[in-house]
Amino acid sequence: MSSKHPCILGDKDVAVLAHSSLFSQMSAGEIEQMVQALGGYTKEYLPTDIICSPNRPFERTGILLSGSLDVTHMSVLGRSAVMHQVRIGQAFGGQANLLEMSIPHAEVVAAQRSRILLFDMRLLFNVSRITQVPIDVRMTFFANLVHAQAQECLQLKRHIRVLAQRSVQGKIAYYLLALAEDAQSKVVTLPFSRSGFASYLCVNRSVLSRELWLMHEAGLIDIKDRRITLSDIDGLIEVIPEAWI
Amino acid sequence: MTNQDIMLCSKTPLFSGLSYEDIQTILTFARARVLDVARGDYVLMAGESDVRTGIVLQGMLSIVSFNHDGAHTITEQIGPLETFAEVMNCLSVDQMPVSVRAKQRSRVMLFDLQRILGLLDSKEFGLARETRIAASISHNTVRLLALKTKRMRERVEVLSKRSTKEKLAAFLLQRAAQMGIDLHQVAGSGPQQSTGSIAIDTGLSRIDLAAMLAVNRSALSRELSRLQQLGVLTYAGQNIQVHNWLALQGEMDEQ
Repeated sequence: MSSKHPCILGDKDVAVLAHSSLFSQMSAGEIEQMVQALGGYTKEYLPTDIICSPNRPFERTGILLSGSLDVTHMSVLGRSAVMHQVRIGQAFGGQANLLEMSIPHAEVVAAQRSRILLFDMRLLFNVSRITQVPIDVRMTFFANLVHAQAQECLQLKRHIRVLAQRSVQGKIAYYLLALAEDAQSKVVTLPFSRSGFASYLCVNRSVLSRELWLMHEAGLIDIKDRRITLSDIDGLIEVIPEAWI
Repeated sequence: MTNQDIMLCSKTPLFSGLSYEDIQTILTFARARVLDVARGDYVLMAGESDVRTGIVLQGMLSIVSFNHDGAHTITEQIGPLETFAEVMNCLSVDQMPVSVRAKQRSRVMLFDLQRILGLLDSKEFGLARETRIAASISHNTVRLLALKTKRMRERVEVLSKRSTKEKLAAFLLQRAAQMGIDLHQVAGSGPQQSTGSIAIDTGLSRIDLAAMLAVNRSALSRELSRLQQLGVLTYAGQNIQVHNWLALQGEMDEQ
């Protein structure tokens, strides 16, 4: 059974929030002020408790303060299940909260005893309520929100371009070139495990390993655990039949 | 900028809930300009440093990217009252990573969304009317970005399928859901199943649909033909009529 508490944020909670993209560049006092203005409260969940499901509208944005959550994506007819985990400090449900809809085809379940901060992002635009917060504080929060959304769009755009490549090597090459561009370096570090990378590219792990080995043999890349050196940039660009942007 | 342009802007998610006068004030402040472009003309060029948010007032645009040997790929199409480049504008990127080209004769409004959002921080912007406008435009901006994210997630969901048939099935199931059709009811057992035939207007030619699904055009045609023979669907031009949603769902190899 879950339990709801008025918003009393401990030092640990504030530290988690200060590292989240939404509350970045804000002091502890400003974070508490903003959370209050957005009607924030904390809620605890036990393992297997359902936080939200397609049949249970979720009119809040959540940030995981402790524990762990599993997200299961359902197809429109209720089948299919691709899972990922919500990390501590990560926000979820913001899009549904802003668009005033339920989280489409997804179920969020507590994987272990978890504590979540819940707040209503729509209150940011409620003039009578939000003006209690100093303008520079709410401007920082607003800028963080827009930046986080725009970054998410950019990441999704990249994921679309990666998945739109027809060959597995094309997907790998596109993703590695994008990482190298971000890092301004020929040496990149994968942010996933090998199976996480396979899942991101939507290919089998064994197929991914084989194609990475073939690319290594062709002199395109050099692999050492998660560190990959792009040995032949032009060769990698040629692997991509779709345009490189 | 004509009255008609401003009226059209009022129908977009970004300017929703704002009056004609409010929109006029905002667009003037955001240095809006309107372009009439012929088919094939560029609205924004890759590498251009003046990154602006755009709204298609009339016509259709394509987002185009070029590869190392100059060949191009169309990655997205932007129809009437849709916005483009707002993500780049919000992130204040130095230059456009892609080009925007008119697919047909079009009328486009370009403006600086970053300048509008900067209004919220302005000391002079404290009067009642301006505060209300600022609250509306900021709310609309985050809603617009949320909507964009939602659409991209849906596209990722389709592209994450591995075969042509899975991608096509996922695309059609998604389109039906976007049309507000309750597929649980349509695909359920009983008489509804036999009468659950629904027409989906894809709005895409066969070439564009293949590009949207990132599949080979002939493989897509083969798949459509196979599903038609099985009685799952029928198709003509840009329309696909699905007769058996459960069978379509069965085409999707669950991951």
